[in-house]
Amino acid sequence: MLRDLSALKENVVSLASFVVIIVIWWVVATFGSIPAFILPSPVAVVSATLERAVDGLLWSDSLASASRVLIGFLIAAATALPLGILMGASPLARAAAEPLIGFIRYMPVSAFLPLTLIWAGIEEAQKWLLIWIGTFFSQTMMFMDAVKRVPVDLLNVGHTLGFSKAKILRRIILPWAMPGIWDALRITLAWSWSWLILAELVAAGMGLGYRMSVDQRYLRTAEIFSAVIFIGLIGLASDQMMKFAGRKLFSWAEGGKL
Amino acid sequence: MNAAQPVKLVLDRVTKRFGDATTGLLALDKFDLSIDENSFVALVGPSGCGKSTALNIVAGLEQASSGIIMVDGREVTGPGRDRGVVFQSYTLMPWLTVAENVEFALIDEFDKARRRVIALEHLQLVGLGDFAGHYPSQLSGGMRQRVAIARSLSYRPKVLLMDEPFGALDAMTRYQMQELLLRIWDEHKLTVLFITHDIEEAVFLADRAILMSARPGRIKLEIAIDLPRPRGNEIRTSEHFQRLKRELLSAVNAAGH
Ligand SMILES: Nc1ncnc2c1ncn2[C@@H]1O[C@H](COP(=O)(O)OP(=O)(O)O)[C@@H](O)[C@H]1O
Ligand SMILES: [Mg+2]
Repeated sequence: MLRDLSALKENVVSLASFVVIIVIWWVVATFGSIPAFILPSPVAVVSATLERAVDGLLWSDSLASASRVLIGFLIAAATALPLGILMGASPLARAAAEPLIGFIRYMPVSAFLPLTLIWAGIEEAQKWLLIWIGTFFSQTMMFMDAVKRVPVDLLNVGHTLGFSKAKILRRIILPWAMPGIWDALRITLAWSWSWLILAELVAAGMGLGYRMSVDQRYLRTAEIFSAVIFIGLIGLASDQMMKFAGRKLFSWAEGGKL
Repeated sequence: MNAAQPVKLVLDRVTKRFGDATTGLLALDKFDLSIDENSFVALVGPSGCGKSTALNIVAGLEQASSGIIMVDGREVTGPGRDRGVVFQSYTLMPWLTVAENVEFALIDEFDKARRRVIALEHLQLVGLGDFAGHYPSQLSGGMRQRVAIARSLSYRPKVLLMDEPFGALDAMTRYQMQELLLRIWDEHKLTVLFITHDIEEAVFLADRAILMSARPGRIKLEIAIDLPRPRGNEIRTSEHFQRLKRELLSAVNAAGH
């Protein structure tokens, strides 16, 4: 009972802070002397959102953006998984690839934008490429880390049971690393959205980022606010879903692994 | 236990140097040991004297720098299912249930139904028949080690290697585990190499207690534990038990640790 009550209190407090911010925003936008193209009121943002939802633009843009994120993210994950696992399991592969990947990871992703345009044009492939550059290297390092952390004693159990290398990988290393791999996927999915918006702002014919670049030209600030908040909500929802699924799938890893 | 038993496990001048071949740390120096079939040998020594190194070499997890290890007259070159190992740390797979952890040792050996039967048999043996569906995180340390023992016995290794398996347990649990281990050993007829830094544990369990010197590990003293079997916890207070314990203790103190 006590726990329930404090959880309820927590929710009330977090909700209250949202309400307070929105009220302040509303007051400043309505009674302050700031022009609407700088700070639109929350009411204007909601009505802009509703308008876009009714005429369907919101949904077609969201769909275009979400499918780009999903494809780019999946390509990155599919390429990073084998390499990350290999690097985690083999010191030789690690020695060969870790310094290089570790270095590339510190290059600013946004600086690759011109190159993606030269290499992949302005169509879908360019969006995927930027997402790939923005997530692949970090994913690889995170997957490697998850695999590397398998306790030696568990590997030794496999050895003493006469397991082959492949069997140790399948039966011990991968199950152990899965929660860490899932977490890395969850974190990098959120990044993928940032890189996609960046790519769409520069070159696209549809998508939430593209729409914002058009809105900016016409000073439709309420629409831009609406898009930013909407992207945030999509990110929050997908993150919560991944978290929930992770808890269901890997309940054994809750509160420490051993 | 007597001269009629064939030799099961032999370590012949086993030397282990970590790191550089000449200047590296010498953990074992021409270590000799021979263990008869179905006997229980305890290796006792101060922390860092090379006990785990010796056991890991026998298990095939570590390579000797020189010397030979033989099981049933055949040279050991790597890990194998003829030798089961119980480690000091908890080594159950946390994503598997207790029963699945025992079955883990039998994957690809039997079909699923047969695996389950063998797993349950061995869980009953260690008194955990009712915990088949639990996860390791729901078990106490002693229970986890019992599952690990069940897992090691399930595939019938010829030799059981135990590296301070009860070292992390509280004294009461340790006593219970020692009695349980002796009961299983009596029933199963197993060759056991048991490592401990606890002299009382060695005296209670073993047929022979072998005391190692500080690094590099060499055998300093070996005594036959001629206490009657089966042994129960009440034997710990007997004069005979205490005398054997004193004998080992004085040898330890003579070294001046
Ligand atoms: N992989 C290793 N590399 C270098 N030194 C090691 C390694 N493993 C053990 N040692 C050293 O060898 C000695 C014996 O270790 P160990 O066999 O674990 O001792 P014990 O089990 O008797 O406590 C210790 O000094 C330890 O630090
Ligand atoms: Mg040790």
